[in-house]
Amino acid sequence: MNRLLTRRSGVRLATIIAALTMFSVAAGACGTSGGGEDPTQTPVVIDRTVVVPQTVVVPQTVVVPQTAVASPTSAPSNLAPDPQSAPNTAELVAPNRVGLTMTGLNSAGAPDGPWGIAEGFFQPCGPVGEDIVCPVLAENWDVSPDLSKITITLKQGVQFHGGWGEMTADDVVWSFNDLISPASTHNQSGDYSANFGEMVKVDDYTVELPVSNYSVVWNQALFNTFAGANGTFSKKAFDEMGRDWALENVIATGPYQLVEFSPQEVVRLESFSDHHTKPAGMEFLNVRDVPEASTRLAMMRNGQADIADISLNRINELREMGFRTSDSGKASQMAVIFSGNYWEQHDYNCSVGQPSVSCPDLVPGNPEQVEVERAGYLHDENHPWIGEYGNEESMERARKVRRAMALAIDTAAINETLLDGLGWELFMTSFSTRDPNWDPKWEWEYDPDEAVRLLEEAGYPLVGNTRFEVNLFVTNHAGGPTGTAGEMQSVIGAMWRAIGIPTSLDRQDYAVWRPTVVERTQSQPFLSACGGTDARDSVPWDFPKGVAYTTLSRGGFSCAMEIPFVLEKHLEAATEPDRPRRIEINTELADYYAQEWLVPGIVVVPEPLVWNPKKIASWEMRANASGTHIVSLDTIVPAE
Amino acid sequence: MRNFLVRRLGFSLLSLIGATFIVFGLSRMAGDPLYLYASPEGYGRTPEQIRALEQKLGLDKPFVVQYLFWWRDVLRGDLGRSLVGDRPVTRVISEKFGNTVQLALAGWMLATIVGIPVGVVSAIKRGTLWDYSARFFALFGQAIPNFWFAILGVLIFSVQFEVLPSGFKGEGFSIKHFIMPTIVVGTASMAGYLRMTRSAVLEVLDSEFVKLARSKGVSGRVVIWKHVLRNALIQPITISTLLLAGLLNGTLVAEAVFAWPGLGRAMLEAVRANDFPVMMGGVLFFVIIYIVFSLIADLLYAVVDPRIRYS
Repeated sequence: MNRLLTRRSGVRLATIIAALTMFSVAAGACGTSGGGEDPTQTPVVIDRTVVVPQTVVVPQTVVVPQTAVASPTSAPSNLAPDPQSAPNTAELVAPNRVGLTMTGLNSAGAPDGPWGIAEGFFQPCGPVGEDIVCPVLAENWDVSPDLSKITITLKQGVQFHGGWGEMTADDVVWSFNDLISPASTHNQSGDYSANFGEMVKVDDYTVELPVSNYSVVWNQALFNTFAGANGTFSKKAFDEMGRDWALENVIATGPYQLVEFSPQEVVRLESFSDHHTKPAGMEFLNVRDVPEASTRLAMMRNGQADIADISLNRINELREMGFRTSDSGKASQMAVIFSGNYWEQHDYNCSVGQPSVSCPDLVPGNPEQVEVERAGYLHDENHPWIGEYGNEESMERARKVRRAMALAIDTAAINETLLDGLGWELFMTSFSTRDPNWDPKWEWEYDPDEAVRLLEEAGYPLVGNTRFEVNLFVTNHAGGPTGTAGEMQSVIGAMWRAIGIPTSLDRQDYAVWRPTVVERTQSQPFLSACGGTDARDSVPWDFPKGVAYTTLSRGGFSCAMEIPFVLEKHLEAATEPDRPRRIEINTELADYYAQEWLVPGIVVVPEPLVWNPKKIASWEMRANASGTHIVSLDTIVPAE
Repeated sequence: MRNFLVRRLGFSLLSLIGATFIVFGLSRMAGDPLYLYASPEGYGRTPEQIRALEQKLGLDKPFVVQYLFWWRDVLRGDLGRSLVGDRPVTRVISEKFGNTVQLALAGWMLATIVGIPVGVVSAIKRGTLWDYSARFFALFGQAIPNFWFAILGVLIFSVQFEVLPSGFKGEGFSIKHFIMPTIVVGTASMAGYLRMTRSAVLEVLDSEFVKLARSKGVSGRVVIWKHVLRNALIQPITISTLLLAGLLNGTLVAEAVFAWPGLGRAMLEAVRANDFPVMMGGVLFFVIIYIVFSLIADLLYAVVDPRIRYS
């Protein structure tokens, strides 16, 4: 009996030890960030202390590649796995948030344009650095001298998918007017309708576009897949088959036609052989929704996927396995936006006779000076980064505080550690260091000692551990709060804490935070690639900049500041037909940003796609500054 | 029995209303649904567009009126249209639910076929290596996080050994695509079954009538199969319906990791996008499933155990 008990006890003990060991392993693994995403995580507002080592290795020089694509050094392609898909088919896996709802026909989030299914008037001619305006459905265009309308001649002989006939002005007019209709769910509908009226047919191949707010880049932004997403769809198919059918059977003119659409599952594309220019290179392309990052990585490694959206910190690892990357240039310029500097006193829209949220009953054409509500304009001791416009002492003090907070951020270390060195320098939002117009005089270096000196000089001595407190939010760019941007937020919070600025990390949902910038009540700094195309590194220097930093965007999104100088420069650039002069204007704006420290840059976060060279021979993406980085699917060249 | 059913129906209705009301309220508090239609850094919507969309989506009415209107439409069989895809919610649910059912059923079958017999063996061979192994397995199954287990499976079987696919459901019925998701879905339930069955069998094994049977010379095999199991399996069998209901509602992690196109993922995306018609339709659907299955469990209990009578 005693032997039995001993044996039983021994077995029991062994089992318990084994169980505890396994449990420990499981618990330990749960605590590591293995690149997986927790799909059930709900963003919450948290306040936490982040421990950062006292010494951070900072490279003395940072080599910035001259090309827009992150350095594509890769191991031999024969190291990549053999693809499991058929020879004429490519499998692309990406998470749904990049637009895989794919509902087409001017619906919310539809990526018809970037994916080459639907086409608009223009598209970029090639990668970053080449001309952005290459006509697609437009053959000629003419802007009236008074800038009130644009007449566009359409390309003839353009065929719709599925044998639905030739595209004419009826289709173009109907598609655009549906997009800007009051009940439209296209998520750029407001952008288009704020600047243009309903399109009118002149003849079968000519349309007229009324303009309410002219911008010289109208054919580079909204009517161009570079940054816009209006497509032309078959009116005939819509009329005959109905809206529900047309939502899922997208009849357009692009090099890819939609074969099958299962929401949150797969979008099957087939090269359109009757395309008016050139059919897509890869005959079949399946775009699949795979939410889990680890799974996408696994699919690439075992050949189940040929193209994938992979976390930036795994890219180098995959390159060493023989994979290649392509980049459209849609890189997010992550910067600290010092909210609360609402320096404009009047709503510019009302001042020029345009109804706005500040003057909804204004009769168009009757200018009126209307003071704006700016509840976030809190130039007080608790918001030292906000200056009182017109009070030079206050402005100088706030400038010093903003500069100090910028100098306290080790941006090089952020790039090396969080982005595996794949990002590149950014010193202010809206202006790329890779642009030939960039001036090194705008550059600055990490200097926490100087930051402390500036804060002391500005009148914020250290009391205990605190000079003043800050609440730092992060938007959904660069992975958002649960991705790389969230890590940046934590690191910046720690760096500010190190110089006596305790920082709460605000992780509330973007949809809850956004109204504060729309209503101009936001007064806390946030981390963002703010301003739409302004903060895409691929946007040309001469693009009019800064709408979201002025009262021009009243009623809509803003970057939580309204700066008179930015308004002035934007208006100047938006109506300046001469490109060199627009470059000069924006260079003046860059000077201003550098001087005021309103939007100091952190790092540019690229968004390359990884692909298998045994499936794809080459993939040169067109330049892109749109809402998705999965673009130019039609330029894939299959491997032999 | 009739009174019992009427009472259950009343409570079920209350649960239904409560759950949908809470989700309805939360979806409104989670932010402006119209935000979905504005590009994140775009101009937004003009006041005219906002008015038109609010009318289209019924957001111009008071909250309670919106909720009542929703119930009116539900009773007519209309769950509304998805904000994201502008597709009927009934269609969204019907497209995805079949995939979830397949996965949940597979996991449930695995859990039942393995969990119950192993639990019985563990109890009968109490104190032996069989028992300790089974209990270790139960501890492992209940302690291990689903998502970690799933990712580990992908790493080992898809990447290292390349014997199973990393994800998707496959064309038609592909057994290879079912293996890992089924194991992930079924493991925790299997562990639960095992422990429950073991406890139940142990309890019955120690009961007086079993001792009497043994003392009368009834063989061990007959004691187990005829006397013990019939009594011990009452609880596992009745719990199995609730387990199935739980699996139907809870395959989200497996669906996310293995890119399984089920209703759980559809609901997750609806929550992300604040697509409240899909959220409401999904919650209604899941609550009804749970109500029905719990009623079946209670009725089954009365059928299996003659001592139970509802009055």
